[in-house]
Amino acid sequence: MNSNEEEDDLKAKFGELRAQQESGFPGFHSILDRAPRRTTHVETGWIKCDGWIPGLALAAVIAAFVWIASTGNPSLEERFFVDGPSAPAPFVLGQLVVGEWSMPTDSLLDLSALPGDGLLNELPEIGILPIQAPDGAQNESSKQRIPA
Amino acid sequence: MRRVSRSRGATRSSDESSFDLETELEHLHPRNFGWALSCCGWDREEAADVLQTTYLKVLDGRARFGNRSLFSTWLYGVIRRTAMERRRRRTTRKILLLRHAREFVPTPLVSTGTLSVHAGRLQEALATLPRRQREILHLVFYDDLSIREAAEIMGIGIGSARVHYDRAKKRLRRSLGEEYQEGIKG
Repeated sequence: MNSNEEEDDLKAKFGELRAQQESGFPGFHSILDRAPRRTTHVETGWIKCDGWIPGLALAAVIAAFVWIASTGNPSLEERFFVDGPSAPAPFVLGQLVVGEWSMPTDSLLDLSALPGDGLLNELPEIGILPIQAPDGAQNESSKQRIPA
Repeated sequence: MRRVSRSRGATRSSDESSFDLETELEHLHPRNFGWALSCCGWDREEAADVLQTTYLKVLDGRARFGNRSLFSTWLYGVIRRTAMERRRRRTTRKILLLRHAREFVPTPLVSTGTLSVHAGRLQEALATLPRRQREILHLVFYDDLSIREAAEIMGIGIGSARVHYDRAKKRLRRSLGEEYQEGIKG
């Protein structure tokens, strides 16, 4: 098969296709002045926009607003802090860290007891509190006994 | 209004002999529409939209002729890019609206209603080719451009363009089959 013959044949075929297509083409000005197809037209009161992206954005904003309204209006603390404001804060005393401190609540009802009495009664149970030396080692002289 | 000049049947910008950009667009319009149809898979509505967007880009100055090639070559490049942008946007839209896929009725890729049997078969065969192969055959045989000009419009090297050209001819020959052989003999 000759390459030139092949190309001539293709040119003839494409020429026929072009002649038939061009006869049905719309004119230049009808193309230029035609109204573009619109996928979405959003017009709600003071909002007017065309295209699907503004439509989706508007729908997303409305959905977010409805979601917030339906879930109430929780405070920022409840929304963003996992433990919440009522979580017990760790009590730090020297090298002694007491994360959970329990105390009988009966003493709270005992009006004759002074504030802090319960704490003083509990401390002897801990015993000797080691005080860490600056180099990290512990020795006997550094141990102090907390008076009862 | 921006003005460009005519040269060798196409146009180059010049200060000496100039004419309206709109007049030149109108002069090139039939070829532009054929190219837009090819870029849009022969969807006439889509081709019309692409062409309108392209003309507005050119007339508004959003697409500026840089005088580095023929005006018609540059314009073909703008049409091609515009068609690709719209295709990308349509694909994204389809993905986003995937849940409504059952309601989506795709437009037929090839509408051969007004064409003769031969022309219709050629258009259908072209539609089965990969995009670049279809584009280079259109530019070379439909628009009588050289492979170099086609490569410039398609934004590829001349070597790649030759490869696409050869493969496209082979695939088209296979698609057209007997009719193709008869055409060569006749």
